[in-house]
Amino acid sequence: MGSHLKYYVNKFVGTTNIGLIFAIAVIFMGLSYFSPTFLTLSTLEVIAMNYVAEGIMALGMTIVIISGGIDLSVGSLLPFSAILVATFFNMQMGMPLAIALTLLISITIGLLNGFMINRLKADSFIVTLATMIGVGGMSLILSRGGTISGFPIGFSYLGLGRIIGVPLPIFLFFVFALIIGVLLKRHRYFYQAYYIGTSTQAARLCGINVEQFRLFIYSFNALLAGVAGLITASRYLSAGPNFGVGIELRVIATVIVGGASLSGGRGSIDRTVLGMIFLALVNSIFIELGLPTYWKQVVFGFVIISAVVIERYLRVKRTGVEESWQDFMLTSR
Amino acid sequence: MSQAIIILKEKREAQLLLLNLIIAGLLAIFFPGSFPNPGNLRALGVGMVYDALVAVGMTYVLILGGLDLSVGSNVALTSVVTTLLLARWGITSVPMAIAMGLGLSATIGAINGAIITGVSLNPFIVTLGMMAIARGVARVLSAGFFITDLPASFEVLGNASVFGVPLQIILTLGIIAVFDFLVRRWSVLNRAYFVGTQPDNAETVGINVGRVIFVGFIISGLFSGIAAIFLSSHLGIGYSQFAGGMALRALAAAVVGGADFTGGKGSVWGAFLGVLLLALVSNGFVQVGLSAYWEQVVNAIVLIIAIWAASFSEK
Repeated sequence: MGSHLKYYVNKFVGTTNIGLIFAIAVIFMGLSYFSPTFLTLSTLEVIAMNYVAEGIMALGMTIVIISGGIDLSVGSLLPFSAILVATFFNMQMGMPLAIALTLLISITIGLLNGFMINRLKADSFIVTLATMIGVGGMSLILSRGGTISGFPIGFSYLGLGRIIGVPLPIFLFFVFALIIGVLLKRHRYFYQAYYIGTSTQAARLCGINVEQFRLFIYSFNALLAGVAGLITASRYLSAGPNFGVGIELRVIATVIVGGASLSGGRGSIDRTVLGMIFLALVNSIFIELGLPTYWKQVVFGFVIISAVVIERYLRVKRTGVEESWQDFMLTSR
Repeated sequence: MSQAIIILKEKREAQLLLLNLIIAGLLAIFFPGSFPNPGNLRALGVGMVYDALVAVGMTYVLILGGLDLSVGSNVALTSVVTTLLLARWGITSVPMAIAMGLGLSATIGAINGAIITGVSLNPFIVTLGMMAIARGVARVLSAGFFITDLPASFEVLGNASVFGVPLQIILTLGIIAVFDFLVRRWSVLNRAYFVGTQPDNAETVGINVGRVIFVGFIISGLFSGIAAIFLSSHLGIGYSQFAGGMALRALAAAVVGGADFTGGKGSVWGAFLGVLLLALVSNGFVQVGLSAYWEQVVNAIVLIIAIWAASFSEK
């Protein structure tokens, strides 16, 4: 019995980010002690809603990063999909068609990312940077630099509606997280991400179609960014090119803080969810305690660096495998 | 003649130079009144000085196999601190304040380098953290406001002209020329190419790879600092929102200039010509009278062509 328990404890500690769970618990207890309004359902809801777009996008980004890539283009895909759907609505298009077309265009941009990474044999960082700049430009062209409104009334359900008492975006996030998490752990096709991220050449030798997987994962990631864009547009009932500036870096930070490695091969959905809860809580500290928000960015920066340092320290201690910093330079990708 | 064609096929700098000359030539032919006039050229030059300095620093870090996302925030923080020193913190000597500002920017780079090599972290996440920290500190210090009331002598550097050419353009070209010479000829800086291509072998032959990378990030920080001084001096203010999105812009320019994420590639003049190309394209938009909204799309296409050209020359 005792050895069983030890086995499960070890397994749990080995697969999750124990330092992050501890930090989340500390912040949670601290906030409920210092802020009388924190432990209410409505406050927790607001905290979650303020980070839900990042959360949804982080799910796809996790698989991209596990497979050794990175996708900056989601940062301008979010405002682009919001602007696209608004443009379609202003063209008197029906809601299902407008949403379907928007998501289809998002997927196409993702496919384009995957295609260019495959064909140009270039680093995903720089290819998706180019797409990010280009898509950002298309947002400006479509919106003429301003904000678009004029959404049909029913559209607000996506961002403001509720399902079994939970706000729809948060519900969607958990459904996506569950499905993607299970698929990534159990399904052969998704699990390829780990092989590709560890060694693309070895994966190829094992008969994995790396190019096809890339096309799939970048379009999947773009689809999630499109969904996040729709939710954002629906929440504010407006769309502008300045929505979510720098969101791509927050999304990547969420995945990395969860414990994924930018050199690929490591990471999981449950870790990313932990990262999201942690950063959403850190984000809320300032509002909850009434501190000046200017400090928010400073703390955010410290927090992501220290979270990664601590995760690494604990991992090296547990596994005994020392990692050279050279393995972490971009060259090794 | 055939030799010229070979150089043109293999040298990114030669391709860029030719491309820049063609674009400038076309603009001069089609807009003889507005393009080659001194006012426009001066605006073009001043507009690219800051990007060029930052892109050169970024290129050096890319050659090492690294990446520095904190350059834009470094510009903002250095600008805020240097101007605060003069306006509120009682430093009366302008050179002193500039030296302290440059010291700060180098320190930011040194912290990046120390964490990356000391704690073994990916430069992406470290400089991402630094990007947030530096921008945040700049906002805290300035409370989001412009910092004004600067001594007139501080504004000389960014606004003086020599024979009609703005001083900051001359200084930038000088700094870039000296840095290019050092990177090509001085073994201490030239090691970056070896380190970026084969870090393991560099370690084996006795190069202290950690130190080369540490120095690389200091250099990148310093270039941001110089850009910050020129920018605040030119506009006569310090501001925490300066250079937003500059890191990604500098990266794009560096890649157009021939740098690569695999390390070991890129050159100082390549980065400069990359910035010049993007600046000429943007100036062309103004000349043609096209909507500036299209500019980003064209920038993206330029970047993709550069990536495509790089993949082409590798085969």
